[in-house]
Amino acid sequence: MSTDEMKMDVRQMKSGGFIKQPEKDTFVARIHVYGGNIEADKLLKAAELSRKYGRGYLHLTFQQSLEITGLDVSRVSEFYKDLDAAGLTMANCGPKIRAMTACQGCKVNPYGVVDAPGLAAQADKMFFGREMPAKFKVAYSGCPIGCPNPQENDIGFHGMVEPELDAGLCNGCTLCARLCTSRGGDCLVMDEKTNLPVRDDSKCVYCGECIYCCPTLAMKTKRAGHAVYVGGKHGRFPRWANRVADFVSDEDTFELIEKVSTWYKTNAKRGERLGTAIDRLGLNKFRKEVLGDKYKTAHKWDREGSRPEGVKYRVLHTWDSE
Amino acid sequence: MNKEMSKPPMQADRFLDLSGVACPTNWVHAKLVLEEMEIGQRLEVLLDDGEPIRNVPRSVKDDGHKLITVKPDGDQFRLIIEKATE
Repeated sequence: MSTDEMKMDVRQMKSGGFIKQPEKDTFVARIHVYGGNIEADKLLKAAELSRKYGRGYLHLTFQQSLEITGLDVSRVSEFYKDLDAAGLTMANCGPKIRAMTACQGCKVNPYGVVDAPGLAAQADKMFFGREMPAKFKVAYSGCPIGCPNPQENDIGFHGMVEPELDAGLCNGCTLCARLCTSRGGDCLVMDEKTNLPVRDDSKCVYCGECIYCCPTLAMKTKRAGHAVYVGGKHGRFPRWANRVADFVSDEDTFELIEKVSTWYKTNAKRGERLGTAIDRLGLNKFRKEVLGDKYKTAHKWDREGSRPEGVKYRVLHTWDSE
Repeated sequence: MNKEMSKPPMQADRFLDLSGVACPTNWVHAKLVLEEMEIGQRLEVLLDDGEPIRNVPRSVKDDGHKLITVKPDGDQFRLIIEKATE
């Protein structure tokens, strides 16, 4: 291989997605997957690339991308051509906005409130690869169960839904009050006189369990949207995110990614993650400059962002006692 | 475990004891019985607390049947399902 060819390869590799392995001249190639879904045909092509350039297997990364291991530096140009022909692109690494992650969302999972993978795919088109002071991760979860760990991302979203009772349809079966996730927070209790469930909004976690279980469709959706977490990370110094807004619309999740990443770029030091910058500069400054009056939380949440502040929960059901 | 009583209770045409049957197998058993029934007939199921009572009522609705009653019975629940669609 000529020096020119080698230079060409190194230049291409700078666009990102290659990670040096301990062996000489050997790299991991990280393939871009967004929203946690990849077309079956593309996956087959990725498998072919692994057979041709790698070691015959694909690694599933924790950020939902695919990695081919064992790529020799002399074959990078050739690899790029095949990658392009397969309709695949490289993911990234380093101080950039990473591939957007998501769970299956409402189109697949019965608990889902929002189309997490669809929104992640849209957000990925808009923001993937932008230069940042350090890595910047975004996760979309369909519901408050939060399988994509929204609280451990620089920005994390999870779907949430506020229920509303149509009393005329209720037959007083008590199922919603029994299954209420605000377990023992007395969020949803049966009124003995009317035999109707009464919801205390100040204790609600907006999971939608009462809507899903209702046999007569009496419990309806009043409003739905996204909870917003910022500044979360794992790693050597993990930081649990701050819950900063609730019932945000699909479109406004994009506006928030734009605003938060811009604030982060302006205010953070090189190499400093968003959560660290928030701790250094204060959450109040962040709220004022990014959220303004537009974005608010439905309650004052506890530091974990999971329970309304001051509400005590007791264990009601055996399956909750773990 | 999944025994169907020969003599169904008064409220329903058929009865299915789903005690100890995990999700989603419990709903599959119920569906098999519902398939044999006529539209308008009622199936009573005995269901465990926990995941089963969270999931089965929802599956009943999603499949287009009517959930007539949900009654607690000790640690379990009795559901009466009316077959509303084929």
